[in-house]
Amino acid sequence: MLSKLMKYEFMAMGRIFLPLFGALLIVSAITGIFGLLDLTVPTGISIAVSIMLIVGIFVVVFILTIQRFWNNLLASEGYLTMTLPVSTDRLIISKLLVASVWNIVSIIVVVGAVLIMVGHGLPPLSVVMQGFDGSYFVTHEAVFIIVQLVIFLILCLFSGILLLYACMSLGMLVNKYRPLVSFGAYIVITTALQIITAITITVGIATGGFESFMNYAEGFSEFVSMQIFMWIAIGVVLLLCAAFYAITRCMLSKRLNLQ
Amino acid sequence: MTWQFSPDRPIYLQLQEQIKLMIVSGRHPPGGKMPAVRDLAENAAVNPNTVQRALTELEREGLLHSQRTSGRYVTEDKTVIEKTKSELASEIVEAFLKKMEAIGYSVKETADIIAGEAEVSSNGNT
Amino acid sequence: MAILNCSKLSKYYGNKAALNGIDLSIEPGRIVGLLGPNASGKTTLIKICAGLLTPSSGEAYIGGMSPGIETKAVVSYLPENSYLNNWMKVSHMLAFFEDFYSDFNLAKAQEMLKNLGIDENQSLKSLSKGTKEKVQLILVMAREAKLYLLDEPIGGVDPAARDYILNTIIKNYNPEASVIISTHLIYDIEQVLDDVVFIKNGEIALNTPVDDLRENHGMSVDAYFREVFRC
Repeated sequence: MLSKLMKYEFMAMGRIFLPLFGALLIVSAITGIFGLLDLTVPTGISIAVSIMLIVGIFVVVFILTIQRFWNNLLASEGYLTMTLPVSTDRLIISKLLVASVWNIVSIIVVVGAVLIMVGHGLPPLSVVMQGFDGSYFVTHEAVFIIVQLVIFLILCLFSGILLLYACMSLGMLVNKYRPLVSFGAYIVITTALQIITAITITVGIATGGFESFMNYAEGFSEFVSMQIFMWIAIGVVLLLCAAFYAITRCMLSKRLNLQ
Repeated sequence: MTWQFSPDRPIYLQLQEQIKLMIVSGRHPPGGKMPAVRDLAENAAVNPNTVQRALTELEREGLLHSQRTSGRYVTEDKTVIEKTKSELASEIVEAFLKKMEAIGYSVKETADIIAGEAEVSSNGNT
Repeated sequence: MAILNCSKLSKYYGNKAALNGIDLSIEPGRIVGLLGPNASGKTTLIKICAGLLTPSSGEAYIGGMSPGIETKAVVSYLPENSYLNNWMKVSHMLAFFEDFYSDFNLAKAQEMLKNLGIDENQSLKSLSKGTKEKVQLILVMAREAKLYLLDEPIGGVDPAARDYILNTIIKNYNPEASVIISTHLIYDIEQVLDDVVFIKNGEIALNTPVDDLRENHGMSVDAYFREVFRC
């Protein structure tokens, strides 16, 4: 069932993204060609178009992430989606995974487009690689940290999307002004998180907790201390993900009120 | 065949009467197979359970009988049909006489009027 | 065993009761009219059974189970409003139903679409409101469900479409399944009903077989309804 849900989710988002991606890649290719030919004015124009497309893609990613959840679960289409014989978990996870994929693909496409535009000005990849002495990048430790970093970034993306989902589903606590309440929930949660962070830092500094932790970490090698930081960071984000997920799940399965 | 239902009486009763009419008039001949409940329901645009009920009543009256596997049939017993027919006839006549009485004719006078009408219509036919 | 069983079912919005202690039991093979004026609680009751609303108190059981994945697999729900994804084609919706409902009868749906002259390759966006409603009804009725919940299926459709809808309901009759039709247009629908349930201010005012009502009161359900709800 999860794969079926994801199939329709991909279709629903893809039909908007694919043309946008196509347009961006074409315009950036044109920009690249203009640049090669040293045509200043056309290059400027097509760079401007590309930038607009890039901004557009990120805006659309954000809006669609929200819209797919809101329209498909909480608004009119919810009458179909929420009466499907599938679990709430599958509904949330399918939306989360597909939205994440499109978020990541958007970033990759934008980076690709930028490379296409300015690619001719860059040295070839082999030259870039020669710039490093190779010793650092091939160690297992480095690979490990990169993998860890990727996991961390993906979890950050998850927590961001789940935060949106949680806020939208909290809108169901009221019967009127749901979008407003959802937006309010977003402000409250993000502010609360900032306050908690600030308090943690203040307390950490005031009690000397950070300092003693730093001293403790200094006792290890660079790799191990980095590991400790990464694990803590991953743990915190994971906790956020779990909290937002739990809110969304509870609202959808126990407090569902479609109107 | 169009079905007409008046709003003030149970639909199954009205269905029962109308099917009865079809049987005595020979639209559903003795021994003939009745349409399936579902088809009758669709045709009359009424609930299948209502049709079922009407048919069951007709079975009880002996006008229909069901064969477990092949469906429902009109009875082959012509006397039952004739009996129903004469029952229907007296019902209609009774109602008619009541109406005539309401506008001031006695049974005798009504009979005379009918005889006169019958003569006129048979003359008209020759 | 009853297909639907509600006990002391209530739903409050704030302190306003949309449903107030409903007790209702519906047996298999019945076509039930859920009648009542607007905002009487009909839609609320149906939405709870479909699993779209959480009751404030009391329980609704479908085949003995509270609304959830298992009940959604056997409940076919037609909402009052359109839920079709506008960007999809009719054929996409068929595939969607085929994917998610194991009781969906694709051939039946295709035949019904053909009878109405609806082209599967049309996008839903290009269809008129009335045609969209028909597509939705076809999708819902082409399931071989245990309980059909039809919320105002004949509100706002033309007489031909109404006859088609009623005909579809009769044609799909299954002695194992029950159909609940909510409407305020009783006159059009009463001859397809077994039972009527009148809802008034979130409470059941009457629950009776149609023929009993006609027999006891000598009037149609519609006329009786007008009398009961006369303000």
